[in-house]
Amino acid sequence: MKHLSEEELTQAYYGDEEPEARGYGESSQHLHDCAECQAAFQRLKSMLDELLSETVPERGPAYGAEQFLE
Amino acid sequence: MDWTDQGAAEEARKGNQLAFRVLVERHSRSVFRLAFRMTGNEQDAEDMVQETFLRAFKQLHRFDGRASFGTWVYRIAANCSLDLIRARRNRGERQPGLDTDTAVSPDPSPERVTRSKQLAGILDHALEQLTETERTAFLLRHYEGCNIEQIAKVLGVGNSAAKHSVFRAVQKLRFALEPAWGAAK
Repeated sequence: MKHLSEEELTQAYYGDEEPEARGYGESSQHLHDCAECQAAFQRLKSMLDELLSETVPERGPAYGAEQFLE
Repeated sequence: MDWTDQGAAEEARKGNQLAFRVLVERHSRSVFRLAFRMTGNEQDAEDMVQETFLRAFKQLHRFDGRASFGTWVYRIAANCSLDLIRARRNRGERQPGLDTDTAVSPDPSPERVTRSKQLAGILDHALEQLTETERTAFLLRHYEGCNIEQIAKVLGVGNSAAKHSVFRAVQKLRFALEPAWGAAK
């Protein structure tokens, strides 16, 4: 079976797999079985997960109330 | 009052200020997060929250309930932020990077602060390579957890175009980040 494309790896990361692209579940099955695709997926996952550590300044629960425009 | 967003929006359209207040209270924090990631600093994000709800109030008659109120207000917030970014660009100003003095966890270790600043610098440069649509799609998908349908509604495009924008953004980020990433580690 052909290796997963970058687009399919991205879809797998976000859980946006398109069933019609390869047949339902086929991409995830391939990802499960193929070491090369697993390695590519892990590289992508590692980069995208690291970006999640970028945080924004906290706003407390009362923030919304403070915004109300009278 | 225990309104749903839809119910509160209907009440607000009739002039009920309390109902609009409920919507502002529910959605301000998520609008702030999106605006901060798009504009790159805290003060601009604060201004965008104000501007977003001001626009939302004026445009409430246009909210038809086909998308959720959250998606609708995200669309306004994204447009407000893009207007600010374009105005900056027209004035020849550079888009500021993420304000890393504030964009760290509440109790950061010195290593985490350093790492966070390194990451922010690399990420800012990478985000500059994205189109407005790609950047917005990526921020909504990656940080706000919006699904493709919600992103499509925010961007005013079809699902397939929204999905492609997320993919193109990830592809460009990977291309820009992977070399710099290794050097920073």
